[in-house]
Amino acid sequence: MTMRAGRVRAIFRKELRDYRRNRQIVVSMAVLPLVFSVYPSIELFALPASSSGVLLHKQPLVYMLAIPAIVPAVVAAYSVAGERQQGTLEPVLTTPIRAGELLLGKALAALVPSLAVSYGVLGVFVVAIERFAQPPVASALLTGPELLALVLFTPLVAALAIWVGVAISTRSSDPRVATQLSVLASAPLIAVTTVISTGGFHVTLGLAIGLGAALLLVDSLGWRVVSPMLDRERLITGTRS
Amino acid sequence: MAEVSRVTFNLPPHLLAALVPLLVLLVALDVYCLVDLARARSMGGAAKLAWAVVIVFVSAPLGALLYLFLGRDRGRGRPAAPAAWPGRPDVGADGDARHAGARQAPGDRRPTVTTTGLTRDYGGTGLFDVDLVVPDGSVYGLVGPNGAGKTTLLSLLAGTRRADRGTVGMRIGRSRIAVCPDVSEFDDWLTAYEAVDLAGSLVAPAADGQAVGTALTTAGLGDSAGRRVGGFSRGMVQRLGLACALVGEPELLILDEPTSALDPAGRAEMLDMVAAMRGRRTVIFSSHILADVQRIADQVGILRDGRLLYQGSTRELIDTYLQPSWLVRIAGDAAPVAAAMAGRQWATRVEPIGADTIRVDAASIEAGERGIPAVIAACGARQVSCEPAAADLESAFLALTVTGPARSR
Repeated sequence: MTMRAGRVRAIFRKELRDYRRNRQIVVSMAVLPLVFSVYPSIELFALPASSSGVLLHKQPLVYMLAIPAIVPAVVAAYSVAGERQQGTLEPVLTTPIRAGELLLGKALAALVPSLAVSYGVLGVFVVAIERFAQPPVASALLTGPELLALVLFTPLVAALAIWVGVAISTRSSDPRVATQLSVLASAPLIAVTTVISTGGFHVTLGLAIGLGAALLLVDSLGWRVVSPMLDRERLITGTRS
Repeated sequence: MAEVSRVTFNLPPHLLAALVPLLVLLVALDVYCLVDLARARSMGGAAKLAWAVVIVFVSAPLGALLYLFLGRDRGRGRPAAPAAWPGRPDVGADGDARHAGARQAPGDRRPTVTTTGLTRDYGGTGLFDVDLVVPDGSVYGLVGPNGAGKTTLLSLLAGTRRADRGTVGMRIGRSRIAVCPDVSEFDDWLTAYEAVDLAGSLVAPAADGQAVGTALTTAGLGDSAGRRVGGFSRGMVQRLGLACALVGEPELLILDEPTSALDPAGRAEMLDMVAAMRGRRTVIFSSHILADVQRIADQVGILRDGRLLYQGSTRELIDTYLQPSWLVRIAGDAAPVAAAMAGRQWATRVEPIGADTIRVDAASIEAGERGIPAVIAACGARQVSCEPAAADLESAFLALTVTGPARSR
């Protein structure tokens, strides 16, 4: 499948313009993760210095990877089904743009606010821990390797959630259904991050590299898997081809 | 069997009970997928068998989900997406006098678009065996009653629907085709310039700001380039759709009801714009307004019940269905002329319309054209005008679609 970068860029720019003009979209994306970060943060603030030893054997920061798993799911779920409902997809689909070009442009555009929100919330969380937690707790919690892993895994997890959301969006006739299914599809990712953060199993460097490589592979193949799911005729006319 | 009967579950009963709904759901999903697979028309037996194995044996519900997302009724029928012009000889006449023009490329112009046996069946309705020939540089008007298949045909040409049967041949590449739906929808927050710029980026990446401005000006939106689409009237949105279609300087322009949302002045402007494209690009447009089609289309196709009843020159169609009936206006009293005409053998009916106008029906066009001036001259009357009473596309259209037989499927 040949891909024209110009068309991908055009869709990417248009979607980004949407986020820029409608800032409430990005702001509302950040609200839920911020709210759900409050309780664990308070718990961490309340930890006595003596518990830092226990924290060293756990990886609680991995919990923050639930944010890039769930935030882009909503945006990605709307990307095709929402535009279809608005009727704004038809003029685009009547052009020679390929399904892969359209979906890649949308996926890349969804990645930008997702990363902004994920890194933003992570930044707020780190600053709050440094500021309000007991210094030994903060030191045990905010270790270099874990922070680096968070920074590196955030785009990988977000991209996976985006491709799953886009895939569901291309096949859903209603954006509300697409959103609910996409959030549901994020559940396994959230479950994995929760199990790791609560000490269910410890991620070693080798395992992290393996997981990262696997995610990278899945993400890069995402558009190839999702593109054939886009049925131009069904999206325009509502009838299956 | 004895071994099987000894298999026991160690799970507690209440947990097993909780799993029953999940089990029912998974079985239902598999059954649904299998039924859908059995009904799929597009797949061969081997493909169906392979998908059935995936659905049943790949760990539930993964196999079923794989089928739903990847295998479900894909590739139905032969794709009729625009293809390169294959260079095959044009098809001949089909033997039906009423369809005599339906498979001929009028004049010497080579066709830009041809279809052969194009069929899309929606269970009895749709489009059936359409052989379209659109000459290069022509303005081709597609008319027909509601549900005749106009939009389906245009969608098949545009490649946004797939045909069940038949082929579409295009002399030009897909990137040289532009499609304008009847009323396009655009994001409210886009400006007109941004909407056309986006279309330009998708159709013609080389299109610059000047091309965008030109397209907007051509569509009559030059002064509204910076305005957001959310504040546009329906007519302005329709113009914006046209600007988006024009920005890539297409060789083939497909317009679905291009004047449906326009006021009379806008309609006239749009029609003039489309008429001016004749010779420079090929235009195919559908319309319910026969006067519009008659005014600008040099080629016309008439659809009824998904079948192409007529295709050819608009002028020829009108001439074919011209009734031997004239409205004759006389300077002064028309009664003596009416009385004289009523006595002629060729005049089948003479009816006074007013003090100075009479309607004359003749046995044939030739008899009327020869007889009417002769009678007027014989009476010493002065003729103000003499025009055919029913020489418009509407008469021809009604003759074809109300009384004309459709081709049998």
